[in-house]
Amino acid sequence: MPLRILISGTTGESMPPPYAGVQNVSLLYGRTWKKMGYEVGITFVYRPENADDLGANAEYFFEYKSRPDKFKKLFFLIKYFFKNPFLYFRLLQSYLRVCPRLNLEVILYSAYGVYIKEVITTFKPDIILVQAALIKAFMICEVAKNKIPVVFNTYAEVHDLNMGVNKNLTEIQRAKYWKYFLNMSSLVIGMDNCSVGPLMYLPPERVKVFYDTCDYTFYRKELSETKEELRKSFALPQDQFLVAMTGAFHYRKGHDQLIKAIALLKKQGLNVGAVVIGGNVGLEKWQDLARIEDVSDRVHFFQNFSEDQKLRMYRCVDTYANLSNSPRSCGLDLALLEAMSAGLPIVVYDNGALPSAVNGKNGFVVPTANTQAVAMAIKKLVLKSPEERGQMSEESSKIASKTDVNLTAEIKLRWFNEVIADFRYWGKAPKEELEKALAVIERDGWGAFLTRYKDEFDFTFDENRADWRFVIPISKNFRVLDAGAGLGRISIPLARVVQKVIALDQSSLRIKFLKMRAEKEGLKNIEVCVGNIFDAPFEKESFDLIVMNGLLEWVGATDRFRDPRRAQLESLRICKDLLKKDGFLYIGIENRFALSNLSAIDHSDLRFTSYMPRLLANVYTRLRKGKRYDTYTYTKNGYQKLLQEGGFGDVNFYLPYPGYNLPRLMIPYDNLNALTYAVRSLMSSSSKKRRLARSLARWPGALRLYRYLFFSFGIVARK
Amino acid sequence: MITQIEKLIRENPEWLRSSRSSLSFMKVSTPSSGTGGLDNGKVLLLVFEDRERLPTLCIKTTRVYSASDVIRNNYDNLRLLRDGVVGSEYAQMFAKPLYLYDDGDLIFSIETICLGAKFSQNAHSVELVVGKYIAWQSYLAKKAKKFRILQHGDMTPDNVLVSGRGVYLIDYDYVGVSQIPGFDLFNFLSKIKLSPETRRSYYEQYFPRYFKAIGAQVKSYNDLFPLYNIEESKRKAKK
Repeated sequence: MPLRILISGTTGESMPPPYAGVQNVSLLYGRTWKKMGYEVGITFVYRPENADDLGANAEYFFEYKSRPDKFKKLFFLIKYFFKNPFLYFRLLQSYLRVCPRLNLEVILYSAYGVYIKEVITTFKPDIILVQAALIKAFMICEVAKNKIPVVFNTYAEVHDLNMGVNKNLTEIQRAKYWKYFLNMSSLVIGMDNCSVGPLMYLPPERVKVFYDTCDYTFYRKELSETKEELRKSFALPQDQFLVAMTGAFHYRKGHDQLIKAIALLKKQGLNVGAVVIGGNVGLEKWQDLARIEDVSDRVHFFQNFSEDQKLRMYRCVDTYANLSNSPRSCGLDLALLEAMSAGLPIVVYDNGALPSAVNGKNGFVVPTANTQAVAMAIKKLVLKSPEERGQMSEESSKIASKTDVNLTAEIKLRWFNEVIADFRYWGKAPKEELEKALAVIERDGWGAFLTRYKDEFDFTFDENRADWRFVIPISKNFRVLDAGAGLGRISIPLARVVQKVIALDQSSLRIKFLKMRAEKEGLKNIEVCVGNIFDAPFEKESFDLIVMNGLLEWVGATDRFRDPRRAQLESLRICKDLLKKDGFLYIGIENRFALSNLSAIDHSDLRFTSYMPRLLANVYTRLRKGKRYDTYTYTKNGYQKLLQEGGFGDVNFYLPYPGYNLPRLMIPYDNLNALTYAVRSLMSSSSKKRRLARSLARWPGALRLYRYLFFSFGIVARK
Repeated sequence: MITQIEKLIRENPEWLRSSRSSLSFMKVSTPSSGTGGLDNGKVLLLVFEDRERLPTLCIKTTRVYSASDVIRNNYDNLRLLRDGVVGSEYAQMFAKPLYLYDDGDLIFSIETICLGAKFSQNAHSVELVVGKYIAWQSYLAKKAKKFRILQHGDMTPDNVLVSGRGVYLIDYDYVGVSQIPGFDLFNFLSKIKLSPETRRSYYEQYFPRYFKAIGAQVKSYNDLFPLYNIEESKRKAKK
């Protein structure tokens, strides 16, 4: 199954147009990943009538049917509040815990959290890429917590003190807020100079410093029209040296400074003009400024350009300027990279990461907010020969080629896969502890590891954990899949007696440990695979035995299926497909009504939930843990039914004693005499419970009840 | 392995109480089996016949073939014990060796089962066990030189089963290993939970009786205790 990527929290209101950089970047990535064979979902606030998805053809999710106003937002709030008030209040509470300022945005975006939960349930992403760490992103992280890894693409919102929540928080509050917020993500991709924000709060290994991207190939496209024809089509003068600039008509983008530089050049008698391309608001103030500066004749305004129009424009102007002048300037923006791809020399401010776009051969870096210097730089370009400008054009394009979306999408995908592999970790010990332990093994060897970490992880060097195998006719030619292999307590002893064991686990850390263990034991017939039973990349009918020891109860904890039982069924069907004819499936799992559950915590992390009707367990788990109850266990009959529905007709049950993780005894379930013998002659009689069991063993009725309340089952099903 | 076992049993219906029974298998091992080293410990499969309250056969195997000597040794030891008591009333004290399967990849032995409950000081009489044991040792000593001092070698209370008036010794890994007379007795009596006085009184009662029964001239059994302890520590080191 291909990776499913959800791009969410996209800044700005709608799918483009209106013109917007980050939305376009999301679509570009979406399009590229789709082309690479992955599934992509993208959320937007709404879809305008003239929406253009740049051919991404992703699965889109819109909060509103059209541009939202106050009433629509109120309706949205009420709708999603009532859909899941538990979740709504949990999200609101979590946010207020780290940012104690209740405002309308927080009230509305808690409902957004409920909405995004629906999106996640529908799209079933393996990873979520969140654009910008804004309040919506917080809600996404809370909803996805412990289930789906989230990667942040952060911009200036973390370090710019004039943005978002930073404005209202003290330094101490800011540190608390961002530490909590950023730590909810598995990885932060910081944008060039803006990586400084996340690096203030996270260790460097959790932050990837990255750069922007662009559709380089598109902007290199050959056009049939000549420069003259293109200028004519835009009604631009043929003899003017033209400087282009693209971006929303905001002061921070610096259109005003380009207009002033043009005025300075006019005074020097140079025939230099500007092409200013922006969105659909804010144009008038720049037109007024051009009039005041007396350059209306040489500043040409355009709005809401399509990609095609931009390309055609860049092919008929002479240079490009990026005069972003606020601390919000992040990386090399999309428009700059597109212009460079199209082959334009550039003039940029020494603000943020902009100087990195200039290598000394493709343009000029000038001091921020210095219009005189901008004019001087443009003048230098005007005075260069066409050949010299041609060389500069090639240099620009060469620099931009490194940001081609095909390359950057590949790099991000590699990070996603690493994140997914690391995220899917569960075990007794925290992930960080296992990381440290692995480092000890690598550095100081197994001896040091054993001395230091004895009894700390759920690993064992004992060879008796796969002893259930003795009731299955295993042969040395068997190919075995150990699904949910963990640290290898089953894979290792099995590999000693079969041809091949494929150890499958969702955590790359655990698999790394297992691989090291196998090497230590000199076992060359263990192959490892980081992944999930639902995506198992194996051929059909390729295994003689599949082991699900302590796995089936966790299979429902996925967002791929609304109903945990359906997820379990699907996993069984997958196993059936992977098994050869007459192959065996072994399941080691708890009994739903085990007596020992009285004194133990259920998989939900709560007491007694396995005893409860599912509906009640669900409500209770939602109330206590803020998530659904999805770790279903069953009675013997329940498992029998599940296996039958999963396509396994031939099923035998055993009672593993003391438990399925240490099957010292494997008692055939249907043979009450065997159970009596085991209870009276083979089980320990030291505890009160065991002594009681021993006296109950005299009465078959009591023994049946005891069997019904036994801790766990070992189930052998045959295809 | 199950496949080979079932095939052999069906080819030898006389091993079963009822030849047409359907069979079920219970895997059994001791808590220490499979811990520590790779070669540590046996795995047993008890064969239950349909409607029979107690198991019929005991299959012994190891987790890996590289540890197969344990099974071979155990099986040979059992045969040696049986040779010593064949035709006598003491034959019922041990399992009956039925088959040793060894194809170079897989090894297992098939024996009859010894029925009885583990010896417990509360439920069973020390006199019953030790009396039966001394009688058996006396029988061996008189039978032939080969069996003059043939001890079980691992007669801990865990390896003694009792049923009615019957006493059974199981687990034959150490048969004949110790040549020090009285080691079995020491092994058994020293591991029962007893007060020091009671233990001492048992020693005083049973050691002279034992040596007399096997026709050994031992001035003071106390002199043998250091040797028993050395044997014991050797055993522990090996385990």
